[in-house]
Amino acid sequence: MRRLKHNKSVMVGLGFITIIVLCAVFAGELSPNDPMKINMSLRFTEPSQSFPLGADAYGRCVFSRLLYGARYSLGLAFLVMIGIVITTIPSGMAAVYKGGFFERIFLWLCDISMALPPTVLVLAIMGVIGNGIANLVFSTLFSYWGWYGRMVRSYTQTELAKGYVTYAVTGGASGVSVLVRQVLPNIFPGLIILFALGIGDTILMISGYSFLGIGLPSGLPEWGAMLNDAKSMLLQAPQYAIYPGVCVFITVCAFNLFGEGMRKALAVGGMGVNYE
Amino acid sequence: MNKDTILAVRDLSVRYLSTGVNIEKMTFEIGRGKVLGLVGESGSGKSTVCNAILGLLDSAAVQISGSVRLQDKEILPLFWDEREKINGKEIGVILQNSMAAFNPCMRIRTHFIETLYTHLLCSKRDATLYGIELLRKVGLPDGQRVMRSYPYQLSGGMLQRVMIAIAISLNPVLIIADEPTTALDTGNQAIILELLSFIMKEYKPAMLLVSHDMDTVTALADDIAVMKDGRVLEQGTKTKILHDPQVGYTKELLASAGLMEETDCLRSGM
Repeated sequence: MRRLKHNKSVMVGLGFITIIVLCAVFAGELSPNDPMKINMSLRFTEPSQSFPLGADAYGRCVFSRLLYGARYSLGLAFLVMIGIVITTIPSGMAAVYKGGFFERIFLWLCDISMALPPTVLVLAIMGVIGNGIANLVFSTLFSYWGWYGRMVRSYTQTELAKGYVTYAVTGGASGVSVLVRQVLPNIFPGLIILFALGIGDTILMISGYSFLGIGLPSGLPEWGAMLNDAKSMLLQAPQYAIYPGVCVFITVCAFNLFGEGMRKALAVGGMGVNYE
Repeated sequence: MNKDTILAVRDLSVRYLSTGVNIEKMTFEIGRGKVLGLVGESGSGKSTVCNAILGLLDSAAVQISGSVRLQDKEILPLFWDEREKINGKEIGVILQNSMAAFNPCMRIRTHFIETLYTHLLCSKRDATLYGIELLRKVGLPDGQRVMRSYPYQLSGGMLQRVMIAIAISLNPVLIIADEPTTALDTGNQAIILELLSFIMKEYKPAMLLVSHDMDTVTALADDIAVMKDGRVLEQGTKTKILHDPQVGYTKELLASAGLMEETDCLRSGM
């Protein structure tokens, strides 16, 4: 813990993440205007007291839209990551522990997920079962699942071969207790890093899809969608594209800084995976 | 079978389906309060014997036949759910590399609690107090501090003692000591050996002592079995093995440990 406190990138990343999460949680209280309210008389108004970043092509408050956008971006990314955590960790660990047939099936599923390029997959799923937030989350989850499943499996495999697992077994520990009490705490630091980096990735991916108009219904204040709206007037009013772009940039940076910093801080003490 | 016999291994054969050591037809018995020393070079199959007794061998990778009886109960074909009741409770284990044998993110206290809680329904507080008492017995008087420590904060010798304390915590009938002194320096080796003989006197379990070092084995064992390439070459009481070795390999081992005059070896045509 002390090492983490002294690690600059962890603290900076964590600081930004806290600010962004607070923005997302208190978007309702912080935003000066309704992010969805269209008022054509306010089109392209200059920044002012009541409209801190001005209004967009439909007269909606840009600042409020950015705050609410944090909700969508973070919310969806967390949803995808939680889905991945609760599916990959139990199944990956169980697959390694059971071995043989189960492990092969698990790896096949991972391979299927990894073999399909995410963009193609998302477009295909959207084409077949229709547009919508649930479908977007499902298809993102599906295309990321294999990568994380494989990582969980390899972490577990490394730990299961270690002496303390043998020792626990000789002490009469059951299979579940070995996995949950012995192995899980040891692979946890590695997984935190993995999932922190993954959140940054997912935010980018979801913003990318809504930039393409996939997933979220139009008009929602998602950062990628806002970029898409600003695209048509990029030369006349570039600031409308810059604001959401900066937001995505800062958020992804914050999660990556946090993840990278964690990795370095934990690798020094011999915990986690050292890539250097 | 004698009623004092704790562990009886009959015709134990282990065949690795890929490659490696094969154990062929091992037979031995250990009585209450007795120590059987299993000596042999690396790769002779000593650890495989331990793993077979503990049920640690992967049934998909090995073929096991024969019988292992612990107090008249056949334990070789047991499944995991029954195994869990025996390992730790009736069989205590001391492994060789104590630095690697403890979970790095669990305090020593948690290791005690895990072991005790798996087999007895006792509270965490009782487990800790009992653990401190055991630590005092194995020569770690500041039990409170040891209990609070993480494994990396203790030395190898201390961890080995903690492991012995955990092994005796449930008063097992059999202790398997797989190279208990190998990873330690000479001073600590002597201390651990002394401790083990104290345990033998105090608790009177049966002990299977595995080592490649003739010195260690002769210090503790009542009977000695010499293994090479998965076979028992020679087996008998300590006195017999020490003073009247029949096989050339035993003589070599004794000579290398300085327990036999070099000239004796030469004279016997080696």
